[in-house]
Amino acid sequence: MPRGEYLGEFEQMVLLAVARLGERAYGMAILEEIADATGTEVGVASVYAALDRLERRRMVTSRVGAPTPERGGRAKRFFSLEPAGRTALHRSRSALDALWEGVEMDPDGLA
Amino acid sequence: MKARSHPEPPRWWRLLLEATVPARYRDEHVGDLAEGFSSRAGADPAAARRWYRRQVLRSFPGALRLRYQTRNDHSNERGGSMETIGQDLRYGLRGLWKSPGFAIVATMTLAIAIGVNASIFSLVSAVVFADLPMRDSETVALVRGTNAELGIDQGSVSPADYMDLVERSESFESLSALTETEWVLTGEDAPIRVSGLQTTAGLMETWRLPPILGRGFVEGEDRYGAPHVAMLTHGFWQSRHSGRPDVLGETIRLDGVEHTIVGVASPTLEFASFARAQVITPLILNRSEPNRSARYLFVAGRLDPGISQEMATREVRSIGESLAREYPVENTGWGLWSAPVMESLINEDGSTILLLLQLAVGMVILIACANVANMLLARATVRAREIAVRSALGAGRSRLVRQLLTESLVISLAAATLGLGLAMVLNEALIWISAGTEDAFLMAEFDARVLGFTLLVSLVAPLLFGLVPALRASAAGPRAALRDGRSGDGGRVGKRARGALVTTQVSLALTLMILASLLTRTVMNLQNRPLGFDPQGLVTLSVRLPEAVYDEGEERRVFFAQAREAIAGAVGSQVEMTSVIPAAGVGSRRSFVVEGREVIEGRAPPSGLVVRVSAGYFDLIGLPVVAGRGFTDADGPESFPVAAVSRSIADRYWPEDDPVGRRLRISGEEDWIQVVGVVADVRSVSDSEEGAPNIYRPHSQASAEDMYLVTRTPAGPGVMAGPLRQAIWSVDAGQPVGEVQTMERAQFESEASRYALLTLFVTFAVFALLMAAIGIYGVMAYSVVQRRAEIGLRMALGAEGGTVRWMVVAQGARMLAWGIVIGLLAALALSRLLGNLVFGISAVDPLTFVGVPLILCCVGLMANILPTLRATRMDPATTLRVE
Repeated sequence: MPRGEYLGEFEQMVLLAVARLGERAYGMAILEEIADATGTEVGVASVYAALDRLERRRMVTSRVGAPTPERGGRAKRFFSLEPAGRTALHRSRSALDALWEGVEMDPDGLA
Repeated sequence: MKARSHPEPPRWWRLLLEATVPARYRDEHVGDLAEGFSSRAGADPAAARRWYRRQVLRSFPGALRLRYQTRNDHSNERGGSMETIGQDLRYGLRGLWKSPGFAIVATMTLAIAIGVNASIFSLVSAVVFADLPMRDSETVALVRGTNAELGIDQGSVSPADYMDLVERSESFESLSALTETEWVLTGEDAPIRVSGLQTTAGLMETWRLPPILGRGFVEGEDRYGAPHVAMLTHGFWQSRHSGRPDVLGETIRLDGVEHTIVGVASPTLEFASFARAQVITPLILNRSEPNRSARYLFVAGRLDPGISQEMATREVRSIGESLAREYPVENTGWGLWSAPVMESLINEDGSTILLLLQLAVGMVILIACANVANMLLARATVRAREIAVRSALGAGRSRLVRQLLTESLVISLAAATLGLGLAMVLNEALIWISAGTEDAFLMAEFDARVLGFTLLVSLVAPLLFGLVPALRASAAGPRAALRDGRSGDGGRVGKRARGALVTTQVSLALTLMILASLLTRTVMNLQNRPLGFDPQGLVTLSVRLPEAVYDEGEERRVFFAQAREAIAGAVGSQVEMTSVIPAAGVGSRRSFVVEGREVIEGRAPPSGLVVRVSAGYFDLIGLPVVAGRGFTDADGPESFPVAAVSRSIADRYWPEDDPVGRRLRISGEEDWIQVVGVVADVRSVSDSEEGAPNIYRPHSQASAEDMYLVTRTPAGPGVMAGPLRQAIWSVDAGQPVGEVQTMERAQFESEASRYALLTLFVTFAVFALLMAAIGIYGVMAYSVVQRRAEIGLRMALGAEGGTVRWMVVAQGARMLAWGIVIGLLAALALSRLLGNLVFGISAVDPLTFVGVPLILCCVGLMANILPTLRATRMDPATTLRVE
């Protein structure tokens, strides 16, 4: 399997947020989805950096939407998951699951 | 949805964000944060602002990452690769090609400005960065003679004072002295005059300037009776001996004496006026006849390790003070002073002039940039539609700005190339105007430093004149520009920007014009001082007898008597002679004692310039004898020594009574001299005095080797040169004959560097005035075009032409008035610098400070009214229909 088909943790988080949001996946929404689900606040620029990389790897596509007044007249960019993205997410998950098999570990790191 | 008006995120943070995020994700990114902000602002505006700031700060790493990821995208909005630069260049060239009028005017404007800058910078660079002839120059001090009363702070030192200094001072490892001189070189070819230096034996060591061939002079070679030795300067060795290394041991005949060549000096020595030197011989200092009032040595010392420049200055000063006490007759008022070589080689007036010049050319380039910026602003408006289309088709703002800047750079580089050519022509012209008398003009060359400076100017200038128009042109979004295509004038901000540019131009031009006018009036005042004699048709011929051949006064007298006779026979008119060309040459300043007048402690003794003349000289040049008598043939070597003094000497030292019949004694000489007459003043070559303080001696009693033969003839010097030379050679075939020139030419040359400076300033000022006028005209013409609909409407509604005209003129007049106020203030501030340079007027001369702004006002209003007239003559119907 060629290198680069696995996803980084942050990339997985972003991709899953896009998958959960479906039609409504744009920057701020992704940010809030991640914050709601994981309790961590990430920077918008990091989200775009990740999505830019994923788009170059053809795992997502994007399109520019309509501007709204509460955005200061700026347009949204909507992202949607591509088959390659779905495949990559599954592969990453099964790789991790396979590796978790038989590992007994206290989540607080106390062995 | 909350209220219709949405709270704005903090403005500066938003701008910061826009600047960091790459264009590709800018809109969505800024929009996301705006949305996040507005959803939080409803509950707690302060918390929302905190959140926004945190997000902006957090964006930096991600934004950098995005920029890195998008660096190679070949979309229209970014790049940096050679391909897009080539595209920009092609686009810029095409744009210029399509509007050749703009391209030519802008390029020429900048070319002139860059040209004068390169030219002046080459002067400044030659003077400021000149390689000093001394190594390790921080431990070299120059010792100078000073005389506060005579205003001398960079004077020379007398040999006797120098020898005492060497004996007494403890600050210096070594001291050395030199003086400039001339010889007649005879040998295989026709006799020629060579200039050179006489130096003490240790000079090359003190200066740490080892000869490149052979050796320097050694101790003992600078005494009487030592074998005659000489060194060649590098330039002379190259040109006359073609750089042969076997020149050592050969002899050259200087003033009829064989000198053995022992070495060739380093080319570094050829600095400023030393650059003219060809031969160097040992300087022979004679202890037995110390004449302290003849000051002609250039003294430099190498500081002892551990001695600071300040310590040396203190010691030298105190030695000077004690010498003045010990030799009151010759040294009262004179002091010694030392300073680091760097400081003392640049004289103060010279550096003020250089500073002013640099300021002036700096203003010229600013004015030119302002003008080109103005043209670009106007052009941007015309091109607003084109730019809007490009932006609508997806060109990012940075790309647009870069394209517009590339166009500016093309103009600037073309202008720099033209400007360099212009600068070379200008430097040649300066050398020509100054008749080659200014060292700085001769030293100036277009080296790497000047080229670098020009390149820098041409790279920075586009930022000055191109950036603002480019930013403004690209600022308007495509929607606004397209919708409002024709009257896209850039709005109020644009108008204000252009107004500020014109105001700047006017103030710079005014400052420059005032400086130029003060300088012009100074030169005119200097010119208008009465000459004191009639120069019409006077021709002079310089003769310098070699001392070694004509060392007795009698031999010189015989030579000159025969020469005068031969010349009189050849040209058929009276021939007289003088040691100093009036109003052009400088005699040697000597101090003297007035009989019956106490030497006043602490005051400089009387001093004057000794001029030796033949008996009929006053008569020939038309210099009236105002009291007593002139010289006659009866004033011979055997009769009582006599002198005639100029009126300024008489007024100064015999203010109460008649000097005729009184006596004076020139210091260092033994005889008392009787004053037999007072002659009118001739103009002084010094800027600070009206008449030259001359003491005339008859040549028959006080002969000199260097004389000018003078005759009055209607034929020009070109016609006279041949017969004059033949006449001299018929007396002594081994005597080189100097230049034959008219008295008027000699005077011109003595003032030539002043004319060169004046020419420069006036050229700059006229150029600045022209630029400012063009600037005002451009802005007004443009503004009238912009407002023609409004004007047409007003006219159609029945407004008087006069009222409308006034309304438009007032707009330009306001810019003009501001410019004049600012310019006057700047000129007032600068006039402090001019205090020492102006003559005959005050540095805040009212006529200048009122007259020059008036001229500028007239020109400015003309440039303002012309386009206004055109506007009000338009048919209202036409202008309205265009809308």
